[in-house]
Amino acid sequence: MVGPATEEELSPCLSSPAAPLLVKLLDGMLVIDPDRRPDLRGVCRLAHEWLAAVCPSEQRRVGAVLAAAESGASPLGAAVAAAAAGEKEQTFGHPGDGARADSADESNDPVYRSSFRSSGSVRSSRGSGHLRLIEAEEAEREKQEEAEREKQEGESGGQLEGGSGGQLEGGLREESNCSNCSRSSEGRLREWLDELDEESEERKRHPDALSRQRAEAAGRSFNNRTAQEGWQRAEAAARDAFAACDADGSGAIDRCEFGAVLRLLGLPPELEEPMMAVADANGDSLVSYAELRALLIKFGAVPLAGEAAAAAGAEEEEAASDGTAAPAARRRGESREVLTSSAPPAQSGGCRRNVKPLLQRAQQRRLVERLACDRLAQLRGVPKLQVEREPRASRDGAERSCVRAAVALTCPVRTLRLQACGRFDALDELSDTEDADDVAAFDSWRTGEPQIHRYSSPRGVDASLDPSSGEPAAEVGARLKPPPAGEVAAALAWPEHARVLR
Amino acid sequence: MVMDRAGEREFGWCGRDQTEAALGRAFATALVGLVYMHSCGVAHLDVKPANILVDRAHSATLIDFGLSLMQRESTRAAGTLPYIAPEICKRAVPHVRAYNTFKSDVWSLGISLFAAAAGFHPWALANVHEQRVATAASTMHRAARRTSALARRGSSSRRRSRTSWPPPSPAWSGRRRRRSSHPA
Repeated sequence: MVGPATEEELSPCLSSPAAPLLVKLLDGMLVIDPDRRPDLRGVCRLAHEWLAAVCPSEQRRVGAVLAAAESGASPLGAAVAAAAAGEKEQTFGHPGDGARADSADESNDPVYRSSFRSSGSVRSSRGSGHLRLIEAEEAEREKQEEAEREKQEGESGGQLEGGSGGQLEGGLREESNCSNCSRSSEGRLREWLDELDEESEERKRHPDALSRQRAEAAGRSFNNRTAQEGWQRAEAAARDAFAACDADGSGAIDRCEFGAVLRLLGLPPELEEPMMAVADANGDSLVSYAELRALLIKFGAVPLAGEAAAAAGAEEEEAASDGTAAPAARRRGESREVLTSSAPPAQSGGCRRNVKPLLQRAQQRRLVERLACDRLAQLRGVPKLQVEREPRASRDGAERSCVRAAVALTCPVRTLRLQACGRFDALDELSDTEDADDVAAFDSWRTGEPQIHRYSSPRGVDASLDPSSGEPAAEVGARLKPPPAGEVAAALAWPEHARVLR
Repeated sequence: MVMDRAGEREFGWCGRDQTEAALGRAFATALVGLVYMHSCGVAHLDVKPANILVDRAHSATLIDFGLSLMQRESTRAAGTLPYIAPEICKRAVPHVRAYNTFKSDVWSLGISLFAAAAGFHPWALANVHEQRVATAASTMHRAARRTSALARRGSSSRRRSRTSWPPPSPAWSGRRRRRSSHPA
């Protein structure tokens, strides 16, 4: 499988916050069993979420078509035509004017909002009965959200938008004359945590404001948001967090500052060494910004939509709106960087009172501790911790066949190769070693937990595949004809498998 | 014969400036077109990026109805390999049993979306035969894993080789030999 190796090569569609929604859509569409695969109406329903995130106008159109198709009252062609006619009213923004609109605050721009709404009304006047109903509902909801938002704006006074950065700056100014570096960093960090708590509290008090902001974010994406913009925001957030930890402004977090962060989060000081070992990739006992960034990327700063919907409070906003994703991602990244506190910190409020995030963090902590042990062992040259494996003898036949079936499902080509050679032993070996980190990636994707890397598989499957290598070939056993040495010879000897092998 | 001028680009091959919004719009328009086709009782049966033209406003046009059928079920094994549905591909070898044509369109659209969004095919295997095997056995779990791993930004990118973005050609070219994750 060839895929992009670095973040720069990655398609913007996969590096954006809406990527989990896209994956969900693809998961729904690509069902192997045609009886369980949805038809196109089902696809319309599935695509709803992703389209709402990336392209809300299209989402409305698909919704209208779906409604018409399901009612069966109006001919679908008419609905398509109506939707197409309504679509002509909308303009698809150029990147240039997108950047311009982004520089101004479009949420406060009455022209932007009114134009957004008027296009909806135009469409509603042209559509069928169902269309009109949908549009009316939408307009109603929009109005409610607007009212909510104005109320909330009056209370918080734009706290959510630029407040965090301002507070951070204020903290910097206040503490800049303090000579004790740990003190100053502590003060700034404390302020920063408080502010995050405040933010999440705010969000809990106004759940509708959340949906409003989500719509806003979607509206922005409709007009001008590129996928890279979200990344830039996340970068900026990570930079802020780094600046908050870096008390003396040296451009790197040293042990003193690291210890201060730990103390602040209420972690025991003996955890400092393993955590530093995890964060410090090049071993100079300084955590540079590049290392922090690598860590954030490794632990997946972008959460999954499903997980986010399940989790309560502030966990939810991270996936939703890009305006709020920055501080949330910062909090999440920060808490992960310092290995996630064992107990909720004393100054905890807001999201930290929720049980589920706590549980998640406890799980993360366990995982990260294992990661730390692993890394320490690697640093000291000790052979890495082996994953405990069931001895092969204890597997009975049924279980083995189950495992084989699972392997055949997940990697059919290699299974086929092995079966062609009669390498059932190697097949079982495959189930042990093959795709270990792929499975881990999949599991981590399902559960939302960070993935643990195994540094190397002790014995590669390809080595066991090679018939000329000694020890695995001896394992093959005499029950089937052993393959001839070398792949060319194999291809010559077994022409019917040659196509599979090559 | 005078026809509309369709878009000049294929679905998902807009290069680096392709945004999510553009992709979403192209996908939605193609989806609406397919819904309309299906409501008329026509199955396309050859949905692939090369058959979805996208114009400058990012709206898609479905073309090439050469394989289309006005049947709900068919036994004909035809399509384009990376995008063909597994139920067609699987049964192609012994004898083709009837399959639901509309459902196979859904599969092809899904693979097209995958390729457009990710920039590579869910199974980038070395040759056509392996692709057929993979399609028939449907490594979709693997594919889903790939996307999710990518969406989590390269957590398992260690084993992956570099490739250029955008990829060289939307259609699979057998001559270009890529390194797969299963070295032969």
